Amino acid sequence: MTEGDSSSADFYGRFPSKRAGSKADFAKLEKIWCAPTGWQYLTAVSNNYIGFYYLSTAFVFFLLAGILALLMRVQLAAPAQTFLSPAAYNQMFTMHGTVMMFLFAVPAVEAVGVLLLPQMLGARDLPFPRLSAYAFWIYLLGGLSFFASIFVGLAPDGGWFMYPPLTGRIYSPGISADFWLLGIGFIEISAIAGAIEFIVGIMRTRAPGMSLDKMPILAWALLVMSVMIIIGFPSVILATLLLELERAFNWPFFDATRGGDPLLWQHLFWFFGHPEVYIIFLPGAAMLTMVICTVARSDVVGYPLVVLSMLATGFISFGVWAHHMFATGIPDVSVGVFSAASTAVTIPAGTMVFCWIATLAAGKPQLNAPGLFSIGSVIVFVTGGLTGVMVAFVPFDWQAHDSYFIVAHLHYVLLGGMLFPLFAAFYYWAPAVSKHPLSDRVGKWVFWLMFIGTHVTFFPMHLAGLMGMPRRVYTYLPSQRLETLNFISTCGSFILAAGVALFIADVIRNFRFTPGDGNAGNVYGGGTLEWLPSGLYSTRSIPLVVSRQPLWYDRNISRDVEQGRYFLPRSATGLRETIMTSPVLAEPQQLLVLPGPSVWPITAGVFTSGFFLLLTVQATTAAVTSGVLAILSIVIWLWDTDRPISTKSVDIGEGLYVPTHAFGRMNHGIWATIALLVVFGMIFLMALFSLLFLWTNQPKFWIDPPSFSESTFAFVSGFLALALSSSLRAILRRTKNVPLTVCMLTIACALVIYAQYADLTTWREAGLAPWASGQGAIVYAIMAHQASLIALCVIVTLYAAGRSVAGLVTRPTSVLLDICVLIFAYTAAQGLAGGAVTRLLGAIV
Amino acid sequence: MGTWLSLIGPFIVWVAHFSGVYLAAEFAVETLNIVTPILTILGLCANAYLIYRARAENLWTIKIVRGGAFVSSIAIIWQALPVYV
Repeated sequence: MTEGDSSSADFYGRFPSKRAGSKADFAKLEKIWCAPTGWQYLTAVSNNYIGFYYLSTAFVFFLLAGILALLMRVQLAAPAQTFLSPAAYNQMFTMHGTVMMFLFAVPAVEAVGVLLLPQMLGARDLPFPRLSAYAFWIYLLGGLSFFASIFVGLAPDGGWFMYPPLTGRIYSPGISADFWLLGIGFIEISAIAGAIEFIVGIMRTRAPGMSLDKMPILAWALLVMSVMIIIGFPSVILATLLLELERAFNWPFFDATRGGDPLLWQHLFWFFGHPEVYIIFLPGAAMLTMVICTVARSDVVGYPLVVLSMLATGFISFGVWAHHMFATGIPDVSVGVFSAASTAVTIPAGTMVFCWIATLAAGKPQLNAPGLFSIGSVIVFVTGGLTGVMVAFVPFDWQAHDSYFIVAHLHYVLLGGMLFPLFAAFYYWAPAVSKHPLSDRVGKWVFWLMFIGTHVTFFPMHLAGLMGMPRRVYTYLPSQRLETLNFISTCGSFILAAGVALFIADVIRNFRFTPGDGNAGNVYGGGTLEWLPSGLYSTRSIPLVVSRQPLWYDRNISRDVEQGRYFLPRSATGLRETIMTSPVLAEPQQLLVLPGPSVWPITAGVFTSGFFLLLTVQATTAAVTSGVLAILSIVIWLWDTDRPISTKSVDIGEGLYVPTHAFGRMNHGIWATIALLVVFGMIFLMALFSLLFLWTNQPKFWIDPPSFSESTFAFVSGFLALALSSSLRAILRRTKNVPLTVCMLTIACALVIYAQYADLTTWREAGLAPWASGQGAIVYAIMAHQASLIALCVIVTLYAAGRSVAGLVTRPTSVLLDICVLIFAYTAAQGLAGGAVTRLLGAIV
Repeated sequence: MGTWLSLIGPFIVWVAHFSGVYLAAEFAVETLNIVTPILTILGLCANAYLIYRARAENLWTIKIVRGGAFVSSIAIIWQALPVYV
């Protein structure tokens, strides 16, 4: 069925079908989706398990970071205390910020997505379950190892933003800064893996009929968040790599005495860091929206406005990064532009708040635990938002910069925008995961303790900040008259902690994780698909969606779904599968066969974490070995998943036949590859920005680049590789000759390797060394990035050759070669662009 | 893909305008008085075109495109102001 095909209406009219699914089909479905037992339980990849593991781990990190916050509050409860040493305090606030932002907030919202999204979209699972599992294991193992650094006194202590030169080798000797720089590498990989999963899942695995105007708000938010992750995270990946290169090999990216610039770090970090706030906030806002709809018993007022606001927030948030740098002396006009963008972002945020209030006003809100947390979220978030508008104005920001006023502002925004909505979500969605709901009565106590605790803790910080208390100092003097405000804040933090402790008691008492063995059901009367009766296979049949609140619209939908009267009431191929639909109207297009449990995502996660952690302790050989083993694990897992399927098309219900394979742009693997290449592209763009930044700020350190005529071989090879890759796309459409295509890929691979070698040689002959100047460092970093892509080309060529020899590349059903061609074309194009820009900028000087 | 491009088109226009003004402000401030009005007029025209182009889409998409173009246009004008103040 093609997008917009008028025949879809005829098919949809046949559902719910008159004939119910058979018990035998149901039993088969349960068997196919059953979880592994014994030690293999760990190899489960289903979203029901991975999502729960993910969320539980994120919550543990929240508790650990919260304990660090309490210790800091004890230290600050009275002036001139020695409960914590200055060094320990530095480690605590660094770890608190890092763990909360990297190990709790982003993973928690991704975990909610993994856990709920497939059911919410009417899919059986996310399109790459093993990728979700890999993302989780790398996060768990890496996160725990990273946190453990605090117990051995090796925790980073440069703040969660790690500004150089404080974090350079001179002022931060030892390996604690390396722990941060390499330690969060796995979080970046994990977050990007999850984002790719969500983009493909939301665009392509929605239930039939779930067009864009019927998508749950959480799906919209996770889509925007995922795009933000693949645009924003590459910037911090690049920043951490550059600083680590400076620390390890003395490449002076941030050393002003050798043509670097410490402000470059701030640009790169905040280009990620500020969107990160919205990466966390948007899913929080979406959870809030969905909970408010249910507690008010009303569809959201202004659904298009909420969607529009999320899109606008996602975009505009990338134009506000420098408002963290107003005090650094950036040009006046730039300051004005960023101040304008920072105030402009209040329009979409304010629109969302009005939509929530209107929804509550339109319905009859129930003041149950999720309802209270929702209303509390709005109050706390609006308070933080108002102070956000204040600091968006430059004169005020200069006064409040690096004071406790900012600490108060950011905590109000993050607690109101993410933590309170998350707790609303815990109470609201717990019955979808647990055999028993959480106690509503206890939940109300939890809310009031947390709500009061939040205000008592953070409101006095506004005043302390305005009275001149700076951030990140381990104590203050009695003469500063700050003791009362700080004592109140400390009391508040323990009230907040008491709320969290009570929540844990409630979870221990009531929460029973029993996937596949039923759940407490739709306790609050939600209207979206995740409240359909479900098992490990998600829903018995995949419903046809005709409304944003399908369960409110059709009272019989749960019964009909459970009786198998909708799509895919049985496994059509005997394997795990879901329906792939079109990106706009969600019309069925393909049956997607999903991989089952596997140990390889775990081993890949172990070795990837090992790679980063071993690098941190400078065990280079062991790190490289671990990296190779990680790649091998991923290759084996992929080898197992892309199998030819003998059945060409299958009946997914009422005689609607869809193919079991999709070609070209229709294929989900191509979508994921494009998303991955966007990540590489953003790293490259940010590297070019770094080049431009250093070129304009430190021109006296620049040397003449090799001329284009001296670089002829590099450019000719690059053009040939690009031409070959591009022509391979056309060749692939006409030929089924796999060995010939693999041979041409090998030639393209040789060409990009030679182009890179020639590029490197000409720069070396021009006398540029990476340790000599900022120019040398960034040019070599761009070449190193290109080399990493070339390594990817080599790996995919070897993989394609191996599969070709094994007879597993069956054209046209396998898209492996299309994916290879895409990667090659991008690599060649990036190599050419990098070579040209580095020479052009140097030549202009 | 056309529908998706319509949906996010106004925000891509905003990104282009922002990037242009920012890059001029940061790296070539002497060109700012010329670059900014040109980019602003181009941005507003692009948003008008996107509204025109979206008329063939369904009503929901048209709403989003119009709303997006409205927000994008306000943001474009707003962020051009510091150049003149």
